[in-house]
Amino acid sequence: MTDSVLVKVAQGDQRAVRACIDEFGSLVWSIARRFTRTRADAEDAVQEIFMDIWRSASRFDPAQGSERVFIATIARRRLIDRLRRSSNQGTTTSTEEIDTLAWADPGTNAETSAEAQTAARAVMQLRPEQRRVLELGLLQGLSHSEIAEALQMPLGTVKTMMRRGLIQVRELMGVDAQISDEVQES
Amino acid sequence: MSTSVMNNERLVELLVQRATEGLNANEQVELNRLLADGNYSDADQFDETAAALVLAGIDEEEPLPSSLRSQLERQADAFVPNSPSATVTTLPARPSAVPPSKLPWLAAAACAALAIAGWWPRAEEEAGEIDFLAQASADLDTLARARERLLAQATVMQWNFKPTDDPAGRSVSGDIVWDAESQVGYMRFRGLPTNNPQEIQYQLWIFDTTRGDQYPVDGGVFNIPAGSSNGEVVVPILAKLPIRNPGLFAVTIEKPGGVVVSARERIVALAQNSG
Repeated sequence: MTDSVLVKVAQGDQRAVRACIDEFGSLVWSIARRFTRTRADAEDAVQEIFMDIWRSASRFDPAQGSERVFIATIARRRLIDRLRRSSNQGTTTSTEEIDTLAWADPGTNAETSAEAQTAARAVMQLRPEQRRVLELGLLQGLSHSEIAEALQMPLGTVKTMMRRGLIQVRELMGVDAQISDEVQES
Repeated sequence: MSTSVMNNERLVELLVQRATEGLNANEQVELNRLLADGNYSDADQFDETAAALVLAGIDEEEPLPSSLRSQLERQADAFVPNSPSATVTTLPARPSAVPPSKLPWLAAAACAALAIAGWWPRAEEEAGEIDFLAQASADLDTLARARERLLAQATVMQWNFKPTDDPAGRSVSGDIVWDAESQVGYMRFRGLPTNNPQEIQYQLWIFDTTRGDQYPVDGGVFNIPAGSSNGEVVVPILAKLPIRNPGLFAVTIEKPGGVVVSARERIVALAQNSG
């Protein structure tokens, strides 16, 4: 028997539909608050995201990754769509808000999931300017053009840094996971 | 045999953009076409990496507000999981959803000889918005030519749009072309009124007979730009789930950004297989 609430939703378990809210409600809400300008926007987005989660539950494969990453992926896609539709995208972001959003050494915080800790360790290995591009794009939701403007960089450089940064983080996460597996086995 | 997206530079570029700032209509169509060309096992890798990084940026989760939790629980209770034995009931996403018995869609659906049990949760995780600015600035001639090229394919189907009783749908004509092999299609409209995207948007729904009538696939949110109401407008279809056997295409009017579940209040165009 699986403990995955998403697998249970996919199997038709009505109770698991509600359980998704208990398990992931605060996560989805926290992500939504970062990528919306008002509380009302965030509430609307969360309702859409949960519909997406329930409808997509059958696509979740526990062998391929964690529920939290799956949930966060769905939430981000929905929120990016909403950001694109917003005519004021990025215009309400203050420098102060931008500066407060950055990755930190994950340490051993029990609240942070394994993937998040691995990702945080990986991103800390990037060059500072490359990490900054990822921070503005992923944590703040700025478009590539907005990042180019904020950092006084050519748009092409931002796109290249974003692409290489994600590829590097992916590769570093793979290495990190492999080391963890080896430590556990030994 | 599966291949890696990393072997295709343009595909990587589009996937990174999808994972970071999203795609416009033309880019989404291009991505769909590229993904349809191969069996890629790692197409979601950039989205997943970005999601893991977002998780890493959350120090402390903020509790869900109790009023929102209550709303979600109502939504959850109305949702019926898609198991083989499950039946589907009407699924209002918003408390204001109009009762099905009052909806003009039912008459239209009856004319279409389809047994639609309920309406229309979005059948996939991505909203297929057609970016207004991108669409307005897109070269309509290019879209028209792309549509013509698609029509030349042997596998393409072409159905006419029929008007509806909705005030915005009474003068609608045009057609829909869809190529099942490439999963590419276009809508061509005449007489569909210009919309103000701050107030309303059009949304396409595709009924795939292999998925069941309860779960139409979101075909994208789109606009009719000013000045084009009396002319011909070609709009690309953004179906992000594979469409195996389309039985009906329906266009509704929705709030800006589209909806997860349509209230079925305004249906402005229908195209169905009459064969």
